[in-house]
Amino acid sequence: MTTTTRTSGTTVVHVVHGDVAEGGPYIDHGRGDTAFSAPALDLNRLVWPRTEPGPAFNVPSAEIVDLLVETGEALKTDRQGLLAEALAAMVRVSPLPAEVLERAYAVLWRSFQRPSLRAQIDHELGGPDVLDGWREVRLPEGRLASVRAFPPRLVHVIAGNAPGVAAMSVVRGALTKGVNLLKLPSNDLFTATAILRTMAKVAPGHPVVRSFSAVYWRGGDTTVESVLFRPQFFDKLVAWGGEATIRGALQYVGPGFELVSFDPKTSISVIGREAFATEEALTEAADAAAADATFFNQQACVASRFQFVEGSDEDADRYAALLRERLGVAREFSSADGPRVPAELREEIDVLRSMEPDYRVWGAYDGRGLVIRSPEPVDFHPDGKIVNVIPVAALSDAVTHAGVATQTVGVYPDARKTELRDALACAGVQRVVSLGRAGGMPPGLSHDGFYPLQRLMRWVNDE
Amino acid sequence: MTSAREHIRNLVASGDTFDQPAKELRELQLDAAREAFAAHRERIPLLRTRAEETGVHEITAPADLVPLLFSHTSYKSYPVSLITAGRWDRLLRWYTTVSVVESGDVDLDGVADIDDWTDRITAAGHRPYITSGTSGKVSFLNCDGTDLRFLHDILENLTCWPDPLPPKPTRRAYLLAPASGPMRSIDGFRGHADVFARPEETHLLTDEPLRVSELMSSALLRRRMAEGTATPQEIGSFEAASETREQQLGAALTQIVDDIAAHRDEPLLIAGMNNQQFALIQALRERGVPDGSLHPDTLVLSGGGNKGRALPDDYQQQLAAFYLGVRRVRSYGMTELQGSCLACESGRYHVPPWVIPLILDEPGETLLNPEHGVVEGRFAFLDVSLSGRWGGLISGDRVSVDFSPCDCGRPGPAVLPDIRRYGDLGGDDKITCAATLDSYVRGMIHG
Repeated sequence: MTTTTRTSGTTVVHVVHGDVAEGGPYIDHGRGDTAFSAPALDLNRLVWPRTEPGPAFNVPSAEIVDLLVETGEALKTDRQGLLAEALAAMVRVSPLPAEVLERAYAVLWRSFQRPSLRAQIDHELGGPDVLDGWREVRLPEGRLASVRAFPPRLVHVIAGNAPGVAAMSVVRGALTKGVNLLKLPSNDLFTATAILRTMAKVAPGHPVVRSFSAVYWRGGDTTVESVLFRPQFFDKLVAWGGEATIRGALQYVGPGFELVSFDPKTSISVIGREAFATEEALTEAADAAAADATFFNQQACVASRFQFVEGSDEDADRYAALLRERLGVAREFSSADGPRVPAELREEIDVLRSMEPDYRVWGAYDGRGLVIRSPEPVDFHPDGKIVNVIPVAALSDAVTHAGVATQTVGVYPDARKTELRDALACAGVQRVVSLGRAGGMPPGLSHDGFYPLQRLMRWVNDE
Repeated sequence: MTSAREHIRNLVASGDTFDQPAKELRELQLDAAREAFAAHRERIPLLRTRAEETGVHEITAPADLVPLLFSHTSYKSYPVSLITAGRWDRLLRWYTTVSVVESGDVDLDGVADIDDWTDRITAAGHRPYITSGTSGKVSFLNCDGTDLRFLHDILENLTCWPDPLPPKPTRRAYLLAPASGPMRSIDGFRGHADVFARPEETHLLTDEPLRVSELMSSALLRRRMAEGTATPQEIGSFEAASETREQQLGAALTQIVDDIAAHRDEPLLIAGMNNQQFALIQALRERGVPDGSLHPDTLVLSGGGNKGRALPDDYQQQLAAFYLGVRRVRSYGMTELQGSCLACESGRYHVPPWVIPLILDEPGETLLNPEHGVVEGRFAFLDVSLSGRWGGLISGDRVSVDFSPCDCGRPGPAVLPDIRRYGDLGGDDKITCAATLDSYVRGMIHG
């Protein structure tokens, strides 16, 4: 790490209290083609003193919703070219192909639509009243008390595998009315700041705008984290994914400083024997499953990697062949070509190719999709458009392969969800969805087993 | 007519193993590579698949070998469920895809566990050497009779090269290892003791054989935890058993330390992995045994990665200081390669003639071998001597190799001393919310 006065190559923009941080020294990060530089941090400016309320603590939620909706409109048109600028830079740091990033950026505004913002407030908090003031509750002995969802002080360690994570974090942070420090990941150094800068153009100096900072430091850097991750400055650490991130964050958790963890997750699909009733049904199932498997080229936690098929080896083979074809199709959030299969996985798959008929493999290592049929789930982690298809005698057998790490289970056909959902939930699963609907979690529902907005607030009583 | 591979294997007893003129050796190696490729392609399906897929049909230059290299993963690519479910036939089928073993050679009747399975392959004239990683899943690397004889030849002729040790059984020996087991280091320690130590004065860390199932116990338990079938009691017992074993080994080590301290004026043989050696010298120092005070005819064997156990950065210097003045085998190698790259007077590790070093870029795709001079990259190789399996492998090590003649006067190539694992060189700062189930079970076993 070296300090330079001016930089060449990829330069990260920092937003501090809503303003672009300009001037001052830059620090070089990364290596080789992932090298980039970011402004040196002024730690004092990254906190909001507890001696005064945060800028947006008393802004009515209706005003915040309006601001977010306007921000969404501005993101849609991108008149200032802020998203275009971020996108150009993203291509250099994100493992996702440019076309996928382009399509993801084109729909960032969707997170800012009024009905979805309302749904979050209504379903997660039970309405805006408790956000804007004190909600009266009658206690069992008849006494009246009041509760308020009080604005929190949050530091967010966000994930960079899908640009929507940044949008979701800004929306949630704004709706809480609290103060928010976003730590940028090295695989998405630009989306959050582009959104915050867009918001600042919509309403310069607005209290919500001043409630946000977004900066980069290397994850785990103790010179930054041991200073900031303290209850004197923040109430909660909102950490996304990555085992190292979560384990690293744990050491700072203590009285007054809580961890809200969007844990790393993995997802599966289960396909009932109904898929084999007709050619149309099989095509429909394979296409829906391919959509779920390729979400952000399989970089997202909702992306299905293991698919359990109710039928014989021959049935599974018919399905697998069709699935392989559909994996190579470009979709809204995936490209026809994905990353080449890494050497480590190639080794494992090469061995399986030699073990027919117990195992069968469709597809090559070119990133256009590869399917492995095996008697049990493979030991390795299918990644980069690889799906492992496992035939089972009954869908209930597939439930044993769901666990605490399983986030989403796509089911075909819809009618089979009811018979499976309790058992899947019991195993640890958080979402049971119609096959093909794994991507794009609807606002207002739970996420990773909890209601985020409710969990982010500080619930205060007047008894 | 002697084949090129035999010719190369015969160099081990020639007295000038490491003095072969570079150009002639390269041609001989290429001939041997062709022979090895032709022979193994016939018998090893994984190599055949790889050759077909990459379109490599003949070896015209070292670069042709690159797409044919395996990695550690190839030798542990079996599903663990085959072991937990006792599918020994399927596990054997897997083994026949990565080695020259054939299903019909091995009698699986009545096999009860992974140790039985390993023993049956041994009974069929093969030695499945295992190596363990931090995950607990072990690799099975097949050797046949030819390979085992060759290993013994290396030990008899090249121990302590460039100043080979006369094969006389004159030492009191301490082998920091179990009595037996399918590990090349254990066989190597035993082999050295047979040649250089007095049999009645050979001390072992334990008289128990090494059990593969015990070595794999963490992987097997992890699998059951992932399946949700492991009970809290089982996890607790596993941890307690690990602790008990550590304590027993600690007690055994203490006895050995006392014995060494008492006999330090005699010629000794001390063999152990680096982490054991380090614990040993610390204990000896605490007993007041000063650095450099062992008998000069003492032979010390060490090596091995430290498998995630933290050793201080300067442990090599500390070992060198303590063992000052005694004979040490100093080498760079791995179970996947027959013999090792042995250190010359200048401290550089000379690649033995049966090994074609292939220095690759970090992804392991492009050959960087120069005609002359030093190149840094990933260490890969084809060991043409191997008969029980294909000897082409990509390692996880970042090395610098000098292809010019060495300061010691011998021709190159030689590996320079600063060897690092790519895995230890640090990752990036990418965060994703996608995970493997491993995140949820890891740490519960190993803290």
